[in-house]
Amino acid sequence: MKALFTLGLLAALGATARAEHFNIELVAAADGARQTSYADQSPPAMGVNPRPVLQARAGQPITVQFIMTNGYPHGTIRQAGVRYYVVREAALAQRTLPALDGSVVTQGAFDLDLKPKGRIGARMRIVIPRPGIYLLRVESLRTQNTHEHFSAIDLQVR
Amino acid sequence: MNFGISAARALLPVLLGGALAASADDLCTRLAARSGGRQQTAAGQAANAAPAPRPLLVVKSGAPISVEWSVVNADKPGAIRDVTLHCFLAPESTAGQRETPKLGPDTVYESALTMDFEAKGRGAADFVLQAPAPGVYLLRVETIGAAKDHGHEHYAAMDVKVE
Repeated sequence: MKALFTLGLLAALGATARAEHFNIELVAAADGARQTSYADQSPPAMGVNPRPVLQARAGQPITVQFIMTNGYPHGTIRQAGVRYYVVREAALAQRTLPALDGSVVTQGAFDLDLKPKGRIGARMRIVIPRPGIYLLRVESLRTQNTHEHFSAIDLQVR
Repeated sequence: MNFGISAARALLPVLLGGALAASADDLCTRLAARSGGRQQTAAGQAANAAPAPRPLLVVKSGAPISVEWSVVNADKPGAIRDVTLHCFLAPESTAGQRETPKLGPDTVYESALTMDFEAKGRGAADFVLQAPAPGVYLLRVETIGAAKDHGHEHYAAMDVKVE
């Protein structure tokens, strides 16, 4: 059962089949609402795609899931990384990256040797205690390319 | 909102370093967690060995828990391919229970990544969780698929009591 649940986490990759170095599906859900975001790239730091907005309530659980698949076919990238975070931002659709400082709600990072078709996924429940606008973002790191890939959703917490 | 993430994360490499020095396993699996000034480390073990007692970390509901794990192919000359590194925090009935809880909607956190372990290859993660509702939870990192090339799986685990 445990293994099946894990495979379920990773099986959703099929929905992200795009011609990118990284296929990403980022999902956030709260109070019956759900938003999904796919891969964008940086630079520019905030990419080119508009970010979906999820409405949520302060103090209520928000479920977050992301799945990333490496589409780069030319060998393993040693000690690449993936990072995710939720951080307060000033406004919806803000075009500058917020600093990862004391306003970070949660964050995490993975270090791995990234092989072709290698996958990274996570699912978690978070609670944001205070109303505000927050950026949920997952991004690749150290992929030895001219750009990195990310996916992001704005959280409007009332 | 500041959960004191930076301060909590700063000590984890020290904890893991100490754990690494105490082990001679060839697929070194380590797990460390810290919250509210308390900390625990769990050394990895082979899944086909008798389970060792798990450390217990006591935390307060809503407090940040900083977690760090790593899996290193320390000495194995050949590659261990297609390994999934799986980590989760899920409710369990009692601290120390033998059965691994089934994962489902009440799973607080779950992650997985796939990689090949060349010699000295390393997979690792560090992250911050919000401690869930009071109860007892299992925090575990494990390999899935290593047995094909390695002969057995590895894991490290601790119990987390949320008050």
